[in-house]
Amino acid sequence: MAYLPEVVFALLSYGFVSLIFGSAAVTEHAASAVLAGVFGALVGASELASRYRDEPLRAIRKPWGVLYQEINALLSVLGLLLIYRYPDKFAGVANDSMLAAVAAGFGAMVVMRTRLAVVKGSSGEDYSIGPDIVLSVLLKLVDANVDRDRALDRQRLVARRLNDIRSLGDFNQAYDYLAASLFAFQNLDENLRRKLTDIFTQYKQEPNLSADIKYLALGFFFLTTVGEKHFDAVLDAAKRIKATTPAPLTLSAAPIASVTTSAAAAPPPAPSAPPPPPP
Amino acid sequence: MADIFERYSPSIFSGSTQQSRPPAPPTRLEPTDEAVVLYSRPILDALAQRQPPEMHAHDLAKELSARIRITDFAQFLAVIGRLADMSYVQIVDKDVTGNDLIRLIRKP
Repeated sequence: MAYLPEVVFALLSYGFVSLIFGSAAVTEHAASAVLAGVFGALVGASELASRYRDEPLRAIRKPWGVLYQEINALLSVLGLLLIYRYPDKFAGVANDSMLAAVAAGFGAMVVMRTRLAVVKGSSGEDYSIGPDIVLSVLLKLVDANVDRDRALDRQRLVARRLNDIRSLGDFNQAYDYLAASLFAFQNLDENLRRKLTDIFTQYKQEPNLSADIKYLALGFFFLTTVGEKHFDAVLDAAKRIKATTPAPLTLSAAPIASVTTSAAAAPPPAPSAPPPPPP
Repeated sequence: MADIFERYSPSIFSGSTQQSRPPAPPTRLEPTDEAVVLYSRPILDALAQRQPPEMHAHDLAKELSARIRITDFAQFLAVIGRLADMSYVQIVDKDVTGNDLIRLIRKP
């Protein structure tokens, strides 16, 4: 069970909150506590999503991502119960359960992200002094673990399709078919087109890079570009283009920017020798 | 004095907006490095099985020739060089014939 630690943490949190504030208080304010927890979790989720822009939902769903959201939710619930414990100190919000949930849900995050001071390290990095240090340390842990999980997922995905990439032909042909498939999928902005050309040129100039490493690198590049959800579809489309096109579209020989964004609109393929069989 | 202010910047008093965090550091490797790491798994595994975790390049290449495609020894050494750049292995002893002594430092 991948999420067992997260379930245990949720139960422990409930026990901890009940121990501090009493189970009667938790039961009495259950609805606002749930709401405050959801707001807190949403803040945590949006923070994670903003850090992993290529696959935000995957980062949020990873066990460490879920744990981060739970901790944010717990802090919000603690904030809410503090509001109810000291109603005279929070007179403006304590009488309205909805307002209290909003204030605790988002307010706890503001408090927990406060830096009283930022100390610069010898190599220029920032060290927070204040409540923010707790979440900063936690975020570093989440980053490391989410990255490790996602790296393993990516390796599995590319390794599984390595033979398919090889079957597209040599490196130039594989690149051509994948690029044609990618153009058929989406309109690429100028930056991405330039990056594609750069990658191709860079790999062409690497005589000491083995063919398999080039194939794998191509796989990782396209995986990053289209995302895990569409990776299989792009590869399958590349294989279909190869099956229906007698020769590569020779995109690698021409500047990428001059290629149309639709494979259907691509110029007819130049006659050339059939690609060698896959190694 | 200015250095002290720069070193200890009281963000909450100066009204700075440092509460927003930058995106995650680019811990993800470049596609080529990711590919090298995936391709080199058998190399790193073979080194990890040794005690101490080190081997000469020739022995390593011979042992792995059945598991990974090594068509050219120079390519194999280039992979080892990249692994050393990424701090996965350390070239302990350089050899003129390329039979370097390679030690595993960490596994991905």
